[in-house]
Formats: sequence, C-alpha cells, structure tokens
Amino acid sequence: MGRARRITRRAFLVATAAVAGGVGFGVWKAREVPANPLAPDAGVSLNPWLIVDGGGVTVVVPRAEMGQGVRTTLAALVAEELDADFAAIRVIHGPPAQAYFNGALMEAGLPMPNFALSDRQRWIGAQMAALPKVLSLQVTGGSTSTVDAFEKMRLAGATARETFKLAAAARAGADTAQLATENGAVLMPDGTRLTYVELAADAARIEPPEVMLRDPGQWRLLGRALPRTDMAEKVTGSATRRWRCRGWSG
Amino acid sequence: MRLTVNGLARDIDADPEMPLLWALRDVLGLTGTKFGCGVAACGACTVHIDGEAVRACQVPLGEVWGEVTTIEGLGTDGSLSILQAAWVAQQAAQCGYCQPGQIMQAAALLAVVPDPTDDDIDAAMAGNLCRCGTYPRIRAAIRQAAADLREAG
Ligand code: FES
Ligand code: FES
Repeated sequence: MGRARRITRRAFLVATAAVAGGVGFGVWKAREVPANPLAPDAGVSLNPWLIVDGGGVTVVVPRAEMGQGVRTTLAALVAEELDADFAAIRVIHGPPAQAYFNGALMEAGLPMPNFALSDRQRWIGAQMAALPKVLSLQVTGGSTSTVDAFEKMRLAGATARETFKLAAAARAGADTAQLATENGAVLMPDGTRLTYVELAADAARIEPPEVMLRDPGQWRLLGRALPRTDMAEKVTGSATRRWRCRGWSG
Repeated sequence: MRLTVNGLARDIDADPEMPLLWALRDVLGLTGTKFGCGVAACGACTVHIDGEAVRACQVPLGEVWGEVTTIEGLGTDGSLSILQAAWVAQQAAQCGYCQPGQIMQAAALLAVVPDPTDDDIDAAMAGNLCRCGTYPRIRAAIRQAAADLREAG
C-alpha cells in the first residue's frame, strides 16, 4: 500500500513535470510571431502576405487553388483593408513557410458541427489551434482557408495601409488623421496622391502600428461577387497545377 | 519526327507510338493541354489537327496527319483570343482543369458553325466533361464568343 502510494506519487511528479515542460514550450512556440519568409529581389514586403514593387501590389495566397476561388477570396481580404485596386492586384502562392500555418485546421477537426460546440469544446479548439502553427502545417482543406485567413489577412492589409499613411504623413509633415487611402494610394490633405509603390521603401522602415479592422458595413469588396484573379491563366492553360512543382516564384 | 505545333516546326525525338498528348506535355513542355482519362472519355486533352478537334491522348505521334494547334496557340495570358476573352467575361472556369479542352472543342465548332444554337453547342460539346459542372457558363461563353466573332468579322 505504502509502496503503491510512493510509486503513484512519483509517477504523478514525473507526469506533472512532463506536462509543465510541454506547456511551457508550447506557449513559447505558439506566441512567437513567425518570421516573414518573403525577401523579394525588387520592392519590399511589409508582412508575409504583401509585396509592393514597381509593378504594384502582390498578395501572397498560401493556399492551393482547386476551384474554390481561394486566390480571389483571400486576395480580397487583404485588398479590402489595404484599399488596393483589386483589378490590378497580382496573386502568387508564395514559399512554404511557418507564417502560413493553417490555424483553422484543428478547430475544424473537432468531431461535432460548429454550431453544436460547447464553450469547453470551443476552448479546446482554440488551444488546439496553436498546433498547426507549432508544426508549420500549411494545409489547404476542410473549408478552412477563409476561416483561417479571415482576420489575419485583413489585418495584413490594415496594418500595411496604416504604415503607408505613416510614411506619407512623415513625408508631408501631416497628421495621419488628415489622410485617406483609395485605389492603391494615400490621399494627402491637398488632394495629391502618393501611391503605395512610391511609399513602399519608406514604409518598410516603419514599425507597423496596432490597427482595428473595419466594420463590415464599410466593405466594398467582401461579400460581393468578384471577378476571379485566376480566370485568364485558366483559359490559357498556364495556371500552375499542384502536381507541377516549379520554383515558388514561377 | 517533325511536327508543326502552333505554327512552329518542332523536332520530337520519341517513340512513334507515344500518344500526342504525352509528346506535347512531356517532350515539348506545352502543359496547357491536360490529361484527364487517357481513354477518349473526357475531352481534357482536346487539340486541333488541321483545324479538327481531336483527343490528343488517342493519336499516336507517328500518325499525326497535319498541323497541331494547342491552347497555347490560341492566345496567351496577356493577349487572349476572342474565344478566351468570352470565357473570362462569363467567368466560365471553376477549377479550370477541363477548360483548355472545352475551349479547343468550342473553337472547332465556331469555325464550322458561326452562329450555333444551344442544341448545336450541346451536341458539339457532349464529349467534354466538366467535373465542376460549369456547363451553363461554357454555353454562355460560346454564345458570346459567336456574337463577338461575327462583330469582329
Ligand atoms: S485525356 Fe484524352 S479524352 Fe480524356
Ligand atoms: S472547371 Fe473544373 S472540371 Fe471544368
């Protein structure tokens, strides 16, 4: 009896240490912000989803296009907050990288429908959401692409927009509150337009500010049918298919 | 073996028994033409030989009887043919996998029947399958292309 208790207690201690170690590591790994994997030869990248170069705005859509229109929907999430010219946006798939982990994967993996989840189950789902990040799971599937991207790609657009405003304000000695953004440019108080392309190099040196996402009532692109960004390449047959691996830029 | 593909003479060093589709994709690198079934059941591999729509998976290289035109010969991303522009205008593609074959089949139809009825379209396109079910938009694109082509003279 006494021995059994000792063993149990020791086993308990060992188990506790292992769990504490695991949790400690898990929290540290899960909180770490993944590095931006983009290092464009020309132009600048303000975050893992955005490159601005002489040709304009390129959005990285790190999910596989398989007919679901992900190259349009996810690009629109960035464009909506960025106030980019959607018709002129270019979309690339980007490299494989931890920054593109699919955080919606595990929540979608719970074995009950979303509407039937209890608070406790939602909490478990939220904790499990860190797993794809720690494991760098860049997966497309299970209707998770938009769920995963819905906040982070809008935030990518919003922080970039505010960074461009800071860059424009610094140039003109203006206050960002006096500035507006539209169609890929910052509108100055005197009506001049400073395009994101012109501001890109300055913006890349500015620490991105904290931002609030817009109210859905202000959306111009989201919730509407948009022309697909991948239509031309699909009617010429040049669209890159998943089984034809060529460098990530091609 | 020497073939004319999209207006260019191409020397192909391959077994004459090799299906044209393989030669186009793997030897010449023209991957716009797709492999779907390999048994003449889907139309994804449709190309033209002397203007006639054929299934490239069924034609051995040694038996190619004329000039080959593939989807790459029709238009490019920066310079779409009228037919492809109509496809874009109607937002016809979903995954897009079947569409090069659909477009080549439609091109062969419009070359012979400039103003096709829905029945003409359905009859000509019956062998081109679309797993995404884009048939209504394909039909709309063909009708628009027919009108645009007549206007362009
Ligand atoms: S691949 Fe030729 S008809 Fe299907
Ligand atoms: S568009 Fe997907 S198979 Fe036709």
